[in-house]
Amino acid sequence: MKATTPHDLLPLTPAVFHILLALMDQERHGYGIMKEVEQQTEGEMLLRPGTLYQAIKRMIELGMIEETDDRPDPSLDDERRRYYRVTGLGRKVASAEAERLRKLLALARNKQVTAFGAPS
Amino acid sequence: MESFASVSLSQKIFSRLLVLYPRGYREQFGPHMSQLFKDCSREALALRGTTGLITLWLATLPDLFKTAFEENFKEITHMSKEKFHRLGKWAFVLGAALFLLAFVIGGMETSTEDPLGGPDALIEYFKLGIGPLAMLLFFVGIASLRSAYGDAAGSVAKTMLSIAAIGSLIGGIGAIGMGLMLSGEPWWYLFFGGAMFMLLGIGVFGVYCMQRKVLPGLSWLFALGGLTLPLLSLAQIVFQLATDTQANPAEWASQLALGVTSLALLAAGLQLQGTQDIAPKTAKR
Repeated sequence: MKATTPHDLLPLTPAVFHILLALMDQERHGYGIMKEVEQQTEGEMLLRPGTLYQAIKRMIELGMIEETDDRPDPSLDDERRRYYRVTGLGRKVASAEAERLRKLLALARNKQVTAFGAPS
Repeated sequence: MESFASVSLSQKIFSRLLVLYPRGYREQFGPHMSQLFKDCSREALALRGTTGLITLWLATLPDLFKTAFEENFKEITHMSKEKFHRLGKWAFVLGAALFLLAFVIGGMETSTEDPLGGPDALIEYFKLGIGPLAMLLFFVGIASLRSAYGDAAGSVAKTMLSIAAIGSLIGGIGAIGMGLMLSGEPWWYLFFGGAMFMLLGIGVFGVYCMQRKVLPGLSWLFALGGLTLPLLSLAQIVFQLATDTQANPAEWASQLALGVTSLALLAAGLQLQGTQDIAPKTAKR
């Protein structure tokens, strides 16, 4: 099920891309990912348990993230929490997606598409 | 104390609802989802009290139903596909075995009157039902080959397998017509043409598999089994056009081609049993 190249996995869904971004700087558990995504999108994206774990399952299958037994601070944590970390492939996929979006944005700017709609 | 009870009850109800997900999914992620919902319930209750908890439930339930439906659907289609591929591989083997059987029995009593110039008794046995059944089995086998390896072998190979599947159906109709003793030649040509397209499709699929290193070790069997008879027929047509005669290939050549075809396809089908399906290159997220 693992993809051969990062580009095989593009484009990413917003949920998958945000989860990857949330895991870029540190390992997190489900609730941690949910809060980080909420924070990084200023509350625009609220991941519910169903959507979050569906995306996590898919990302594990594709080799973009992996489960880890490490706990940043075991004393503060519940054993039922499962931590996830981004893999090498996951980092490459995130870079490729960012590059894809950069090109798309450049194209939109070139066509003078602004945040308020198409040019008059 | 009251808030602790509310959170605990909320989590218990949520955990019960996880039964909506497939068992494997539930076992892998159920406890973590439940823990996550507990955290969310605690936060919602702390920030907005009972209203917050109700709002959380109203937002969570549609998400839970939607994702549970999707996961169950995936599970069902995945299982069905796996079963279909398993069934299809056996259908291919049985189709090839019937083809071989017809050839062996047909070889016992021969004449050179049919257009291929080969064993006429083969046609008689096709009339009795081996032909339609073999073609039907080949149809199922080819369809499963297309589903399991079509994407990996490329669009041309996939199209050729579609042609092969249609050819097997047409060939099957021709064989039924012959079996019902309907007036001769059109049914024979329908059977013969369908079988040739079927074999050609399988053969080209084999060549593309060799080129792309799909099914290593057995792709050449598909190429050999599929292309031998169509190439013999092509050589016959070219020879007839060049010499302006109606000459047929020697009987031994026809028998050899039939033997190679049926044995190669049977060997390919048997070896196919131990191979894994190949997922499409671009997977959906």
